[in-house]
Amino acid sequence: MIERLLPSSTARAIIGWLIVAAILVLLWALVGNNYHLRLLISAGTAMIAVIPFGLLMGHMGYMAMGQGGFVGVGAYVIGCFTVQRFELDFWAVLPVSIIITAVLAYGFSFLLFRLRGYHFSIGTLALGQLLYLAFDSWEWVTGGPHGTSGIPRPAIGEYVFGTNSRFFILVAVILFISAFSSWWLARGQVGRALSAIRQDEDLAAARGLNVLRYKQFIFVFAAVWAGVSGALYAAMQISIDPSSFTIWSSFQQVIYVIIGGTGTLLGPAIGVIFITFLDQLIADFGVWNQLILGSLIVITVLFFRGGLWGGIRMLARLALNAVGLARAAKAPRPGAAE
Amino acid sequence: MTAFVQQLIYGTSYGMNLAVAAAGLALIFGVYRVINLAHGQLIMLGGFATYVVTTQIGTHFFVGFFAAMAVMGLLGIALESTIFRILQARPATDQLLASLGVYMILGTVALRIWGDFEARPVNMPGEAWALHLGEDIRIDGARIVTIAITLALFIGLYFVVYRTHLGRTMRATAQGGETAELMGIRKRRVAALVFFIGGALGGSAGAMLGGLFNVRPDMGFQPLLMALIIIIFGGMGSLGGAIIAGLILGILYNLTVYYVGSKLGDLVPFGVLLIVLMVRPQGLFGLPGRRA
Repeated sequence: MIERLLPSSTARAIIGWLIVAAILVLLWALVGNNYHLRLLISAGTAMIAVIPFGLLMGHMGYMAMGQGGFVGVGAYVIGCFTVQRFELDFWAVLPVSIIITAVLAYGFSFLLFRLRGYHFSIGTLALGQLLYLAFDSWEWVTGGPHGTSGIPRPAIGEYVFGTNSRFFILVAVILFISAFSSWWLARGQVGRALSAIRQDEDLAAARGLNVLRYKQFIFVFAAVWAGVSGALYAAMQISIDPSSFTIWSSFQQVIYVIIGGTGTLLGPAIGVIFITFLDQLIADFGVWNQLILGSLIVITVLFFRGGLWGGIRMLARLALNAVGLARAAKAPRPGAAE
Repeated sequence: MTAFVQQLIYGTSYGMNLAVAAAGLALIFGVYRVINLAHGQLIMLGGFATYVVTTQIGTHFFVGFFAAMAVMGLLGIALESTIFRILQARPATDQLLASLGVYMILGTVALRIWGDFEARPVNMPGEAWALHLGEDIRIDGARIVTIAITLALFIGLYFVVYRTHLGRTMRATAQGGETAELMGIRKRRVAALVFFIGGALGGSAGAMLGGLFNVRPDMGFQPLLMALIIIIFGGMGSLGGAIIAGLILGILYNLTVYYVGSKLGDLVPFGVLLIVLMVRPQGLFGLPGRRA
């Protein structure tokens, strides 16, 4: 009986996205503290890259360990074209930045997708390190180890996204587009193709799926959003240097996804929020915070593969079970093995 | 020409060193089917173990060297019995992630103890003398000692893997774990042995890198990256491939650093990797068609 009362999946989706939009608006309206706003901005910037990356890592099962490189490309293209070389406007450069990351990712995808599993991860790790070395040494474009500074804040007409409060609007809008496009892809044909690839790539190919096309598409998709995230990061930080785009920044994206929950869209977002606030909490521990984070990863991978979002869902199911609404709780995932 | 010969020998010693580190990874992958990213920190901790025993306590280099091998071997066994045993049946992503977590944990511990980044030297035999070939080729004794140690390690490794009963059980497990178990080979014992040898090789690589350069808490990352590239280049799980790939990479690296510049030298491994991926994704000695 209770299932009848639940809205249809389309209606649920609309309600869900309205809630997301409402949360973003509420955060903007209610968080007055500049410091907290700044945290939200950097979390949002990370999410812009991490949610699409979740499709690549979680839905498709290809763990790229070099996404930080693409974030860096996006940031340095902005840095190069707005300050270092040409002094163009942010909005004129953003499409250039997107095109360059897309072309770069597409080119490398031919090489990388000759690999699977470990090989793919190691190949992307090497790509990330290669891009980092390029940032560090190609001084004409990147300014070398000292980086690029004086990147202007973007503006629309007279409205400059100068303060944190205004910049939050920019990040929130782009985050919404990033999350929505990821969701749109995951729910349709592409999403089914991705899970087919994750479950058995050879079978999917044998059944006539053009596996390489889908893999390349998602890789480029994730790289482009990583680049956009980097572009916003550059505009937010005003000055950038190679230390922000090391292999460690790539690992961090992987960590967000695994802690939040792989194979879901909300998981990576929750991972970003959780780790951003965990970082604040354990900042006092100095070097020990890496130990806490490392232990958290090991424990999550070994014992809680669903991550935080999986844990939340499990608790919700237990709670619903307790009040006898178990069937309704199961309804959203008809294919899941119970 | 003289500089070329010198760089060739320096590259050989560096490459052999990397090959030792990579051989540990390749052995663990070949038999146990797990990629252990924490291997980089075993290299680093091996360096510090040597530093503590050789420099701080003040014994001979080889005491520290064997101590590092033993301690890192035992650490390898400890990691196997707690974490990798659970991970063995898991997908590649889980293995990489969990070992990344271990990498972070071990790295933090080292940073906590030795985090001031002071130069921590390890005295190596042969540092006092140098070999003079012809007029102006001068080769540090430590480099020659490194080459000798790595050669001894490879001969020892060959002997263990191909000439002993334990080695036969390892090779049988590598070919087919279940069949090997049915033949009466004890899986747990092989696993412990493989992780002991793998850890000991990592520790010895760290000891030698510490002797040639300095011991630092972040010294594990570069060799780890090189070792990962080497095992792809050599063919996953192939010991001979790892040695040859390590040599090629080490020599190319040194020659590029000397003739072109240190920044481009860092690019060499990645250039090699890209070419390998284009031409022969299964690596030098990997079986064709077995990419994953």
